Amino acid sequence: MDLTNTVGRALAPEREHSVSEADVDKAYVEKVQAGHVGAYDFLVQKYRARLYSMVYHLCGNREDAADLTQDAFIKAFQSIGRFRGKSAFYTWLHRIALNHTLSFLKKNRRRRFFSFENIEEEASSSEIFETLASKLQTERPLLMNELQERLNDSLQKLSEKHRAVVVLHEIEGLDHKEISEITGSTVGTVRSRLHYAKQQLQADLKQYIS
Amino acid sequence: MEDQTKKSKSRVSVEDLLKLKRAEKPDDAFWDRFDAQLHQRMLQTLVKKDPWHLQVLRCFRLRIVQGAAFACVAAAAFVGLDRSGTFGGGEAPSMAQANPGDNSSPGYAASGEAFLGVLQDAVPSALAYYSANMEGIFGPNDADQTDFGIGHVHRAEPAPEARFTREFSADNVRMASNQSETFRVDYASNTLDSGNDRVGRLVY
Repeated sequence: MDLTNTVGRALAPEREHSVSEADVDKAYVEKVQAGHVGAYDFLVQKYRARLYSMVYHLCGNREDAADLTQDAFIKAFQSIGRFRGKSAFYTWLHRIALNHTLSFLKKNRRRRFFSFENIEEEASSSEIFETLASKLQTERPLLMNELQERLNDSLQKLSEKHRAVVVLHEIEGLDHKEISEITGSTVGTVRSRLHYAKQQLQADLKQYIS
Repeated sequence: MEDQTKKSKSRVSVEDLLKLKRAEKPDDAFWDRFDAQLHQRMLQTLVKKDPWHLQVLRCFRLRIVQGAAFACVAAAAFVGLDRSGTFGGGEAPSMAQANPGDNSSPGYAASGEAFLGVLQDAVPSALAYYSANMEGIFGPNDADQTDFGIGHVHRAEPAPEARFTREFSADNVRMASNQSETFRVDYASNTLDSGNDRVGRLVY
């Protein structure tokens, strides 16, 4: 599947700068639809981290998240022939991953265990972290682990739909409109879910919030 | 003013805490494994498997074709042998022959007509008439067994006292076993290939 580079070179760099991200994606999607399987690699490389991050924060388990992300890419690949470009590829891909993850979480409600990714060094030296460390008078590594677990616990206490909105907005940084397209709900519903979810999180994490 | 900035910095909101979650990221080794697994799974999806009902149907179809081919071969062999007069009425075909008159010499007779694995006892008096020379096929000892092909049996002289039984199995064919003193044994390894076992019968 080394056609990625070939396809990448096929798109002139100057054109790539002038067109939107969605247009670039569309060009690659069309390549895949025309039978250039390797072009799909470009899309995988581009979105794997974002997609994995969403799935990981939804399920709180890195192994499951890796499997579910791969499933989502495979599902998208299998049905890419039916993708008509009514929404951005990014939105379509995220919708597939979200629905697949939510259905997995429903099926495996009782069998839940968590495994965490490492927190990047930059975060541990961030201002927020320093504030928390001084406030709680805890050593950094301990605080980091504790915080990671508490945040995960609090997120898991939310319903799947509320968790999805929080993850997409607060962690992935998507706007309300994008979230409404991915979740298939109205912008109003997204806002309301976000508001409710934040209230719950605030109550649950009050010892860290000043 | 400075106090206000310090205060705002010392405040931690839910949003701030959730931003820390963004920093949870897998390492490069994880992505290497991820890519390798994904490529493998993608390739598997490209090699499409037929649905289960088609696989079952194909299996049955294969069996039917095999069965039909087997039946055709058996029928052709049966008809061909019947036409050449080696089956039923005419001269009995044989692969071997004995010297029925001589008790000291190990004359062994085997008939080699084909086949259907019908296990039967017989009193093949006609066997004693077979004239083919078996010396080269079977040795003088009972234990001597030699593979043999299918040949024709020719009657030579009568030996009415001879009694034989016939046995068939997948591994060997006891073509005829002498129950009298005239013949000791008529026994041979089965050289019939697996497609031919059970397809044969001895005719005396």
